[in-house]
Amino acid sequence: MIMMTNPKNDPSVRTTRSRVFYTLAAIAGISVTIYLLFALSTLILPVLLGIVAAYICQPLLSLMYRNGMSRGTSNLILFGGFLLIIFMLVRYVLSLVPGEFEQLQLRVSIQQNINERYQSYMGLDENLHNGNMIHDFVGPEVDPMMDTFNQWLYVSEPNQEKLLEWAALQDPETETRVRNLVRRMTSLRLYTDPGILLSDRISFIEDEEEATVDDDGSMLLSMLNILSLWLIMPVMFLFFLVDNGQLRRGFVAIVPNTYFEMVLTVMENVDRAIGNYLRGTLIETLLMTITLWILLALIGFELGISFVLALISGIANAIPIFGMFIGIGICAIYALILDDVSAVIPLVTLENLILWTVAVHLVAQGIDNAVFKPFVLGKAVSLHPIVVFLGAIVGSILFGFVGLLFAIPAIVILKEIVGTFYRQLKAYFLIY
Amino acid sequence: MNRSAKKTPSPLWGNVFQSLMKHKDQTRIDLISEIPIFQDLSRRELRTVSEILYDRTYEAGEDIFLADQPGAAMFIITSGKVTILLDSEAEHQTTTLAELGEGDFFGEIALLDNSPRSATARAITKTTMLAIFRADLDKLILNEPYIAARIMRQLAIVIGMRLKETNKQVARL
Repeated sequence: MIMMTNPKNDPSVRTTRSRVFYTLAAIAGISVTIYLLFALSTLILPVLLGIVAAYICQPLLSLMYRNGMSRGTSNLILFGGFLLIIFMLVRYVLSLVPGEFEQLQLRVSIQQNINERYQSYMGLDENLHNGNMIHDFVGPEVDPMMDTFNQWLYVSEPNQEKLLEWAALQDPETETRVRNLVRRMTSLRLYTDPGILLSDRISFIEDEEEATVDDDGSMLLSMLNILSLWLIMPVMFLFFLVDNGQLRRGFVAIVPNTYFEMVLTVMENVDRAIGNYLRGTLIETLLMTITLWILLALIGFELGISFVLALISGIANAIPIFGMFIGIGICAIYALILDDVSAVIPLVTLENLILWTVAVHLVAQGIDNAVFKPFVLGKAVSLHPIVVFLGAIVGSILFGFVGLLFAIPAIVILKEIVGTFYRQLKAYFLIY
Repeated sequence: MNRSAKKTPSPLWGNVFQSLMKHKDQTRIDLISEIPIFQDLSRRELRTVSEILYDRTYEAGEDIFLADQPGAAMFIITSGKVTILLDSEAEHQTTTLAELGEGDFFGEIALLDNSPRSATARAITKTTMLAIFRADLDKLILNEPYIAARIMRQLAIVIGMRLKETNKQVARL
């Protein structure tokens, strides 16, 4: 006869079963989370940005609430403001996106500018001969890359005709400019073999041409796809804005009694640390954006474009070590494709614009390290440089750019959780 | 008749969960309205307070907190009994300071500072409690000073009464 133990009468059986159940539930939960993270990786950025924005807005929400506004009205105002900012940003960015023919013109123009600069830096003549010392040193490596780059940007003959037809309908100045650009493009030579014209080497795939003509439909579809993905951002923002602690209470409800007060304390400390870090990073990003905007405008970047570039560099600056290089890289590419520059600073020319771009970023970094970071962030980020370096690399390998952007905040959060958890476990006599 | 028909939720789309949640909310507010430190508050204010309360259930014999642990929350008993114990290291014995029941609260010093607990609290029977976390009360003071002031006033009254009682006990010794 088998004797069944009533778990109600035997606490040890109940405890063991509870442990097994919670351990299995935790493993299953973690596994599903990791799987979802990878399966829905395209959603990570909009979801995170929505949550972060809601988190950053919490003090504002409290302030409105304290000043007599109802919670509903405060939420509505903040959500409306959030939507308005997104709408204005999207509208502004879309206004910067060129049309089909402007894109072709830009492509030819970029190719022309970059080849001119390259030939000038390398001391090459019109026939791509007589390179200088720099060319002797880096030419064998860079020349094939330039050829590949030129092939990639080369506009096919049907598209050249379409571009010229479009240019004929524009003002005479644009028409002349486009004709010159197309003529120069067709006379480009291979750097690796200056005797051969680039156009002779290029063999176009017919399908690619058809794709260019029929691009509108697929482009619209992909834009709709992107839009539908990003719709989740305002939803997440609203969800976390109106949450009012329900999520936290839901989590605390499943915490065992032994850890109840400790978990509340850990959550509060972590919340404070993350809040300070995120709000500090946001203020730092804004200050860096303004600084770079002014500096880039001073060296001759157009005001609207310099704002977008400064914003990208400012956001990238949140990534320690790598951020500055991302900012420099993007601004340097823009400096390379500029046709003309009229800077406030007299020494700036098209030839040395890249150097000025680098200098501007170094100055901004200096101001950031000496003024912004100490005042805004304090000691919120005290990570060892090797941790920052490895974290950013691992983050980018796992989740691409999103991983690179959020690796350091994730490490800061994890460090705070582990550190506070350890201190509290000791304080509550749960470990030695 | 029409009015009652309007109130009855549709069987298909009756928003069953919402009415269940509403009922749960009402019960919770009714429950906390009977707790002495919340007796001055209106139902709207009680709803605000209920948003910062955590429900906890302790089995008989289970420790709620131990002496010398950091204190972060105050507990209000909604059902069951709790004993407050003081361990004397010198005499190797445990003294029962008080036995508390429904409506009583303890651990209130944790709401004022983060000093360690001065005694141990243990459930005598299966006990359900509501807990208020210090940081949440701090936020309530900032966001709803009128509500927080009345809670703090009630707290001060009870702490004062407990101090007077302690003084009497010391005088008797």
